[in-house]
Amino acid sequence: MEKRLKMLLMSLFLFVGGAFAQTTVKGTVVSQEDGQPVIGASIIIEGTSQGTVTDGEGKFSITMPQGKTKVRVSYIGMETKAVTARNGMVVRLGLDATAIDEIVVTAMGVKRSAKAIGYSAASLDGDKISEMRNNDMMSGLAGKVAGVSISTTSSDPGASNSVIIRGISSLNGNNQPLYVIDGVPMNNSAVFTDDGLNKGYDFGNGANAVNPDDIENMTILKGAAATALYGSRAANGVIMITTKSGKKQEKGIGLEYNGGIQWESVLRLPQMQNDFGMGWYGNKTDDENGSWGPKFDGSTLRYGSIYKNSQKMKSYVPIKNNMEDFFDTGFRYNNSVSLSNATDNTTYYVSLSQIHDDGIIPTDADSYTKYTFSANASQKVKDLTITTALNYAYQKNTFVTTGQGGGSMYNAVMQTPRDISIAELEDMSDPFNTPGYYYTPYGITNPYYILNNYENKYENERFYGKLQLDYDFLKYFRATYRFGLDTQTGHRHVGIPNLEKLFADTYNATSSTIAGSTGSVTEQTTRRREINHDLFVTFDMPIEDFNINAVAGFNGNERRYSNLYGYVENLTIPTFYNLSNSSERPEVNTEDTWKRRYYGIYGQAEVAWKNMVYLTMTARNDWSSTLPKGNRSFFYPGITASWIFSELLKEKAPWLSFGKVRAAWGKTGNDAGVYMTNSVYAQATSNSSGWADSKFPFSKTGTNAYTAGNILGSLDLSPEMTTEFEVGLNMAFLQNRISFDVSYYDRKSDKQIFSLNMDPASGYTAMNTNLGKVGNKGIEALVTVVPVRTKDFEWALTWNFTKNKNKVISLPEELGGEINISPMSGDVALYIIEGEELGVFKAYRTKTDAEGHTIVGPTGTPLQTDDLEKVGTMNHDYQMGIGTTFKYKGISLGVDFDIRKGGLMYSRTADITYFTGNAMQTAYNDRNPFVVPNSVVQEGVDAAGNPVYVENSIALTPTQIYNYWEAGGPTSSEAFLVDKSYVKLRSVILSWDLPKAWLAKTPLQGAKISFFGNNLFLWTPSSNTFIDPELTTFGNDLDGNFGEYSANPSCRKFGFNVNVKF
Amino acid sequence: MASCDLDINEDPNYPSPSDVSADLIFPAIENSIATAVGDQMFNYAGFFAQYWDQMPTANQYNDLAELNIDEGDNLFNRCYQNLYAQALEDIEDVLTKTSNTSDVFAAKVLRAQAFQYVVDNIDQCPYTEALKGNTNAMPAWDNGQTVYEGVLKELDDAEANLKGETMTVTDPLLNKSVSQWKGYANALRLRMYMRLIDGGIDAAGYTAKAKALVAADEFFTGDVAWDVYSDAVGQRNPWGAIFYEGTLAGTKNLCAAHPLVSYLNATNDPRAAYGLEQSSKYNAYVGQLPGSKTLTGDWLGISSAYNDDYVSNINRAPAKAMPIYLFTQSELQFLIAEVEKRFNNNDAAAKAAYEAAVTADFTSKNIAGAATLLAAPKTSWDAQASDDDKLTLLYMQKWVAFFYRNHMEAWSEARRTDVPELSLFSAKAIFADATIYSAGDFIEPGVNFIVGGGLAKRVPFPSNARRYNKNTPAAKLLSDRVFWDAK
Repeated sequence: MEKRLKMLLMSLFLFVGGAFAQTTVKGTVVSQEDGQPVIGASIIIEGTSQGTVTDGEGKFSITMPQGKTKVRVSYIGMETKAVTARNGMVVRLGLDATAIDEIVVTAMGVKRSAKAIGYSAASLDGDKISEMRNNDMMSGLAGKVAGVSISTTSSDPGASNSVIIRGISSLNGNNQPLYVIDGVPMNNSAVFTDDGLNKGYDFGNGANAVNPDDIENMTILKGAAATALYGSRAANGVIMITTKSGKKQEKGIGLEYNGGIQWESVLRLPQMQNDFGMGWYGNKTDDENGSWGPKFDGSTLRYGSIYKNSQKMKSYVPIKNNMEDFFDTGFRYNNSVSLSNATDNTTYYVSLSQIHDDGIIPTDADSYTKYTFSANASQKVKDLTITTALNYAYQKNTFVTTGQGGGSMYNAVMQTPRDISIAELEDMSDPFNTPGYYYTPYGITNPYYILNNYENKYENERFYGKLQLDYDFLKYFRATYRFGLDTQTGHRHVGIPNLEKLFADTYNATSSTIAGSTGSVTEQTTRRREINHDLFVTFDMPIEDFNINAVAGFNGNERRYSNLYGYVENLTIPTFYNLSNSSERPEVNTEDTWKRRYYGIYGQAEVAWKNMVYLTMTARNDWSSTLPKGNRSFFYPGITASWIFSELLKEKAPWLSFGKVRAAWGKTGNDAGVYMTNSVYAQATSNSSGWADSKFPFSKTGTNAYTAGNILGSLDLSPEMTTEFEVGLNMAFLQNRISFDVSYYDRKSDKQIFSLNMDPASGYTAMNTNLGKVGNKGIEALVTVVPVRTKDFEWALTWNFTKNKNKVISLPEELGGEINISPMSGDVALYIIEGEELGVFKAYRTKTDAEGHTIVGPTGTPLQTDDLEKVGTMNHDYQMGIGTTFKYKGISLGVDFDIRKGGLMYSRTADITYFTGNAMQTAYNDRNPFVVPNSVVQEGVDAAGNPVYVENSIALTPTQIYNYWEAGGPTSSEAFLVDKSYVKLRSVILSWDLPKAWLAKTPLQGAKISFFGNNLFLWTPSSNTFIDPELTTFGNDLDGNFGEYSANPSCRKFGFNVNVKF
Repeated sequence: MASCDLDINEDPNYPSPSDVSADLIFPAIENSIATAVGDQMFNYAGFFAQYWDQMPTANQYNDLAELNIDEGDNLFNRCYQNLYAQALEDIEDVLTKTSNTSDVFAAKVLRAQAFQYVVDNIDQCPYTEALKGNTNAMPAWDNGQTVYEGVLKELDDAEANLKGETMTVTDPLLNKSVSQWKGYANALRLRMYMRLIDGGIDAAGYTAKAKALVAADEFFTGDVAWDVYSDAVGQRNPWGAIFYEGTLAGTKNLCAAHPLVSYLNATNDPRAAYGLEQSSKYNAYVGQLPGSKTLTGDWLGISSAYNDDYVSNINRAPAKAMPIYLFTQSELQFLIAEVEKRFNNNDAAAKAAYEAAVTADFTSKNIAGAATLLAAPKTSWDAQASDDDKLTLLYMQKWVAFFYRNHMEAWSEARRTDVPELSLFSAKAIFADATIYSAGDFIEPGVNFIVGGGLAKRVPFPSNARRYNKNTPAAKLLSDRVFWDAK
């Protein structure tokens, strides 16, 4: 339909036919890629302005004037070819390497030539997304799109990815873009823990349900002017996905198959010392969970618990590859098949996909299974087109719990002394490998036992799709109604064994690992449903040199959520994970349901002049249920302009292939979270220590009670408003061999809706209010160079660069100009501070006197500063991607690097390996007693009451050496903040399109074999000996920037894929 | 399928505010106050009163044992929030929802109790400008004396307004007995008067008031205890639950401290069997020298082999379903005994109250042998050489009785009376020569982060006040005294 429209438009700008016709030439234009006819390609006779366009079958007929022999064949998004005209000719157009003339799907599904739009938008072909062969559609794009920061929060199969467009601006912690699939918004909520300290899990974000092989095109809209039509949820940008629809099959039956295998291996582990083994405070002991023993001496030692009067023996030597040996090779297999076809009035596309992925952790406790089924179809009846897109996705994950809790495998691995072989713990028939006789009683147990006996599962069924009616009327008008639905049910199941019962009379029965660990079962069912209505009219009409295009519409949306949670402890049958399996009554919490609605009206008008100057105006007004009645309505406009100045220079500067300047300004309003307007009464509970609740109802007295909620609602809330301005310059030279596209943007998010903390003496702990202003400014650039392009060989280079600088412009005075946003409390905290970048890390530093000497305390270890002090920020200084592709005939090799510089993150991996004496840093000075270098100690106070310091001579005893490192060593808790710069070899893809000639006698229409590798290598600054800095255990948004709390290690992935088309 | 109605922003997960009446809120007030004193304060005051210390091989409370505490440790944050944003805020709410004078009086008693805990911990606090929501988000701070005298006056006023009505609110604490509430109010007054007297605030006036209270003898019977807990998941005493539920379950963090154990041993007190376990190495009750876990191994010459076997574990089993004690009969009788001895010079009445106090504690802990203890030379009232010795014995026994009952009051009373007194000798010296130590004396922690030495005299201001209220006074040191702790 769109192509037909375009053909119609383009033909109006061309002078068809000619008065001096001599020869009539007929020919066909097809795509070099797939042999499909190119509809609407323009054929211009060289040296004239005469020409024609191809019809629905790619055919054309043109009459050549005398003396003219060549025609120039072009089509948006494809290379332009000049060829000699001859009857029956077939012109094969390749894709335009610079992709400057590509088609971009803009808001409401309106397709535009990229050159026309006045803002930055990245358009990605579906093949580019699927060639990386990732489980989801986004993670393969990491480092490849300017202005978009994409990272995978965890290497665990099926985990979330984070997509942040043009920096973090919302203090509420929702900075992910809006995903729109075929015009329907998609729920992208991530399923991750709210207790990252103790029970971390991440079962992935909603957009992962999309099968990458189903994607025809993805467009990333970045700025407010681009996204305004999508309403308030688009304040963080929009990722617009068009799924494949049926295409007419010239040959073949339209069947496509993809199948592949992938292996995974561990990428980054902390660097451990290999000089000291099991012990504490410098002494050998039998049962420690750390390496604070004496130097390795090769002696043979008894260790661990006693079982039937026997003890295990070990050699007191390091096991250097202990952790590497523990992890195994992950394995994934995936298959997808699709069938599509079209007639003049009907199209259909049906696909089925399957993925099974078992990660690098031994056993299948880290696995991900996904099935998707999609059916897209359209039927045209006269002027009415009916389109449906139906998608079903099923996922099942198991996740190995992270954090410090008893079920955290990696926590147990990192607390293993350097002389204890982890791999040898696998045999569960050995009593010494069971928790009852495990070698240490100190809070950890055998990681294999955890993997085999703890359960942490998630299952989700999802249905999403649309029904759309398009009606063409009055020549230039089209009316569209679209009904969208996205509904899902997720179920989480957690089972922890009753260790106290299982190991009642064992050696470790009274240890902290076993005593009190009576097991538990958690069952949680979450339902989400979103309904979206769109009704809009589009108008598109050329008037001489002008083209006018307008959209006006209505959008209504409702979202519902309900969550049911059940929990029981003290399991009667120790490993039967069912809520009924306890003498205790399950705790059931039905408290969480919500519903919200909004509707909006919008309009957009675009005027184009001579395909050279474009001006677009947008406006939208929303009404939201989450805002107080008086402030429900909010309006936000936008305007963009672009000028393709190269049109004027065509003759003068033939080296300039393309040149465009653009400017955009826009606003996007945003509503509040649900139920922020009123205060509530909650069932009363109290907790003064942070450990256990004293919670109503009390069965002993049969008392229930309610308490006035501690958060003050507000009837004065007004919508948040984001205002963004951007300018851009896009140029290409030498037949598009060199091109660049650069944007500068300046975005301010004002009146953010936030729960502002208060002094509890006011009677409340927080009040809901509008506060603060955050600014993001940045530059994003994409440069493409094709140094070599011959008939068979091409070498292309791309470089993308993003520098975003955010700033907290204002915060209310009550906050003293700062807010603590740490997802955990402790020695390290993340702050929002007025006048600074968003996300400033503070930590206790080592106390120093006026001359900079370290001040030590009574034990000779450094004192910490009284307060947390600023250390750095969570933000990268810049990120960039470097990619290169080599193509020789059907063989292609692509290599991409992802580079991010600067920023800090908290690492518990650093913290815990300091604590256990496993970190290489802790072997300092061979662990001989030493006086903290350059240190002083307080002797007393002078007459004025100021402290008097004298040179410190207290040598650290072995006990204090441990205390010293446990507290972070020379830099105190600042030591646990790690530089998160990195360079990653993000992907390498080698593919081979089998020559068509080879396939000619087979039913195959195409065949491609590819070998791929993702996250193959990682380089980090020498100070980071601990982790892959991409990891986080605090979710995929603002909190995630805090860092990791015993995140499972990341992995590299490599494999091969076969693609065949029938 | 979706309606256009936008009036859907009432949270369905919570009851409609009009359905929540005063009687549904009142028990929440009692719960919030009880959990402040019965969980967090119970734990840290257990260190400050030198009942217990950090177990050698665990690390949860190192900072409490070594007095390494500043505002950043957030020691008082949750208590502050429970007392203000929960208890006191709910009291404000109840006062708008009931005009029953007996209900109002009970609410005012709880208000006085809540503020007493705040002042005893941090001295200055918001009072006159507190609890006004966002009309005064940063209330000014008053000094402790203003708060003490303010709530005592509020208490008197509320009592004067009583019209003999029956209470309407649900009241698991004192079962809607107005006379019990009056008795609790009188006991609370007595407790606070003694602090004002020893703090040198209008000593004569408050002495007269204290004497009048004792003469009138209108106190509560039994204990004022929040007795709602049972031994089931989610129903346990919150401090006791730590050992059985959650992250710290099973972790042995608390061992007995030397001052308590040495005094119990020296007086042959059978109450040692309550809450303490014998050291498995010595088969005896052994207390660790305060704040000395990292040093003891070296002193013993065994370094890291110094482990949990060497000291008495704190047995948490009695705490599983234990009530939280806001005011024990034992404490009340000790206070009466003190008034009789110090102000009425009535030795017989003092002795009777002293013996009633000790006996009440034995009964509460279900331990036999009170009579034997009261007859033994070291603990018999009559066997004491002087009036001062009698008072010291009274205070020491009160300290013993508070163990595993009300650690906050134990710490406050030790600060008021300076009994147990602080030993002149360091932990190391006492380790080296036990004879220099008199049993029960407080001992400075072996590792003591208070520069210049000494013990904890208060807790730092809550960091959530520091962060969100610029009127919060300048930070205080752990060694700075509260207003009534004159010496």
